[in-house]
Amino acid sequence: MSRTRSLVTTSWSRRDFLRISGAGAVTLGMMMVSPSLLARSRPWARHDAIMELLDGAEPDTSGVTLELPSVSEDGSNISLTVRVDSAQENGEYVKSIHLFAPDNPNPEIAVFHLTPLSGQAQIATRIRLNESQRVFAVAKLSDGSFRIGSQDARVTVSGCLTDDATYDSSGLMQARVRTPRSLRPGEVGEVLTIINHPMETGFREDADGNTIPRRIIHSFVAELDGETVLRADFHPSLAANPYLRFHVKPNGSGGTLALEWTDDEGETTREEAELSVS
Amino acid sequence: MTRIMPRHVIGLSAAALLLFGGQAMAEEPISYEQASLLASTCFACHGTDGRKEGNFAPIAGRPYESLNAQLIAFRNDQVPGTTVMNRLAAGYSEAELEAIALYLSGITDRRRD
Amino acid sequence: MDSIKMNRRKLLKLLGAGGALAAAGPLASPAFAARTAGRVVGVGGGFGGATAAKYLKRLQPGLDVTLVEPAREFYTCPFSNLYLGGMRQMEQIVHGYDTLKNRYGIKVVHQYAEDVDGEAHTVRLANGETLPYDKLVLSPGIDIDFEGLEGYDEAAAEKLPHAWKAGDQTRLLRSQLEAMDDGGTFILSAPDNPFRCPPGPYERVSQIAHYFSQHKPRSKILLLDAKDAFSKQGLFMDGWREVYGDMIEWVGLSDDGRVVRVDADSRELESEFGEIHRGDVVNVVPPQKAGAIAHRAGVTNGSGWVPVKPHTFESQQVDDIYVVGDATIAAPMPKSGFCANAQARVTAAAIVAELNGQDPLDPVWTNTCYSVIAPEYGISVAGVYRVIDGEIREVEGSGGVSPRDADAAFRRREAEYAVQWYNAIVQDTWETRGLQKTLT
Repeated sequence: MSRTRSLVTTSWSRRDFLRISGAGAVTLGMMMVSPSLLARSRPWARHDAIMELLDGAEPDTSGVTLELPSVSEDGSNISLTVRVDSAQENGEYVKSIHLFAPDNPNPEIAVFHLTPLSGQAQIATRIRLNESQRVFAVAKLSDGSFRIGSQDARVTVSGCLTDDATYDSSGLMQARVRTPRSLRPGEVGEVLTIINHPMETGFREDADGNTIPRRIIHSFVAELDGETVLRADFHPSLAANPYLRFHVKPNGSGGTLALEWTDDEGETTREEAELSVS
Repeated sequence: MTRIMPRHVIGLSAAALLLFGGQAMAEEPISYEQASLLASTCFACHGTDGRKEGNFAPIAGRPYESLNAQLIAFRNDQVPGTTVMNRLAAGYSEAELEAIALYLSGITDRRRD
Repeated sequence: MDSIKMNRRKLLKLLGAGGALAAAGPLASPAFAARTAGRVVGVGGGFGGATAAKYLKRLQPGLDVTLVEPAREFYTCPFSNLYLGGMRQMEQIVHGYDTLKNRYGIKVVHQYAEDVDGEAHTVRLANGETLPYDKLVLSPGIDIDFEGLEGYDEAAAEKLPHAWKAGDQTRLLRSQLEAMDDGGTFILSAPDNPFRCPPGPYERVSQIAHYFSQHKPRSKILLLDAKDAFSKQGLFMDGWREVYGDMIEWVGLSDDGRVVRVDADSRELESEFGEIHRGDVVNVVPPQKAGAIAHRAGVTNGSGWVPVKPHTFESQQVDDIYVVGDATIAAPMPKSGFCANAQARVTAAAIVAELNGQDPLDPVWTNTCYSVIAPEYGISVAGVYRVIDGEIREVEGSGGVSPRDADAAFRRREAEYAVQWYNAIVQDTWETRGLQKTLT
């Protein structure tokens, strides 16, 4: 009985459960759980975009931490940090992290494809939330399994903020990068980047009521001497002026870190920085 | 906004100032305590009980009819040159503004600061 | 106590004789007044705590109300920017507690409240005394989060003032501005949300620009911001251009405006992407958290602020402790003195209702924040808030900011109204007087 209950509270994942009790017990457990409880314990189940990604797999509900402010006064720019508790080495690593805001017009926020060179499965960025909702992060591991985490985020409409985006994104596609000055062998370094871009969603109207066409940066790549550190797909739910904080763990003596962004109009920006290891 | 009459008001006639919104038939009566709470939202700019005089129009003890008419006009954004009262009055129902007008009109101690 | 007499005849006429009526006596309803039970302790003598104490006594004069506040006089943050700009004197933003003591019978204890025992319902003061309570109102305001910004500790604040609690810090910043040479650079670093007084940093640079334009016209102002959007942004930026030309430069988050490290000795601020800004006078408005006693009382959560029940502002975590003002999570209501005063009135009514075994009233709160860009240039943001679907929300269709296209007369009127508002709210809070009728 206690095992059955643990399914509901999600403190155990399905995978753990299979390991402990065998598949038969799971079936029994599922039957004893009322459908409403089940829905509450698997809150992602009603979101098509997430179910599609999982493709029938049952995700582990531990090991993914999502940090968001519990209340935000500006839904157009909300800090988010996602962390997956996993080794990030050849053999066992997080392959991708998928962020979802299911109640946004466009539920996908971004997908981050990681490699052993990423060093650490942790990303910080800034997102848009149309309304209060639960934000999800799904991690896909190198063994094909999934983990999922979620966090409630409340957005209040604040009369203190003017409605229209008064921020003038001058210097379109202009990027800033901050890399560690030097790293010790085996040390994981933190890379910080931001690029000026309006990330037009395609949902906004101009003063004359005409729809402003969608124009976003849709892809980002970070390479160390030609090897992928991080690749990312951005969606309109990523905040304007895409901001990223990710990690790199260079092999040997470091090399050249190249960052490249591409937007819907085919414009690209490339930045390079030397990473020295000593 | 509607409010169910709290039990304690019944039989508490001295405190039970029952106001019925003229237009809003669906609204519940507004108790005396609720009226005083609504009116107290004026005090930060008009002083406690609306007694502060200065650049703002005096509001304490003015006739109910003129207070009410003025508040409704603010709510409908019909007062030329208004700075903030239109933005504030829009947050209340007509019945609530009547209650506020009634409460303020009843402040007969006109001692000013 | 003031007494308010309803005009009985008028009410009868209006409501009809059938009304279950009515000439209500004083605001304090007689049934409340007759009862005496109840000890309420308030901690914090600012807009929230002083207002709560006063309205508790107005509603139920028989209550035993004690207000704990270490300072004998309270300097308001509202209008402290006007002191920096030279439009007000310090003596005009300080308020005492005599009327609250003498006219309202509030016991004012000038001690620091060190701890709260929520189980035992007691507050321990720095002098060792213990105050028992039935209901506790905490209005501790903010504390500077000295762990939130590298290099910014209490010693650094003596060199790079925050001036985000009015008083000595405000004087220090003013004296640094006075000592600065013409042609110098003033830098203000503004934090991310949430923080006390969302329009505050922007009014402050306006006021300092006013001072510079009169005394040091070749000086520059750099505003480094950890946000891409701020309160009344369009209005502020219009006003800056109109009144001060290009004296004020604002750098938002996406242009690397966020300061991540401070060097107090060299007066240098380092941005997120490594740019170093050196100022002649540097004002760091640092990250903030609820005042210390809220943490001691166990009412804060992981965010450093206090979650409250929306109808009453009773703590979600500890029974019989009510928290009002900047320390609370009350968004979309801003952390303003106006809101603290509004919350305190609603909470006082809720406490009295609860002590008398009644349901709380339907809360409604308002906010109006004036910002004075120049002596004849005021702007405002207003809001009306209620509990809707169990959470605090701004009433749709209400509130908002001054029109972008308003004329000079409108801006002048809002500057005058700012003064009127200040004089009224200090009367409503401390029963003290604003000392000045105009800004010029």
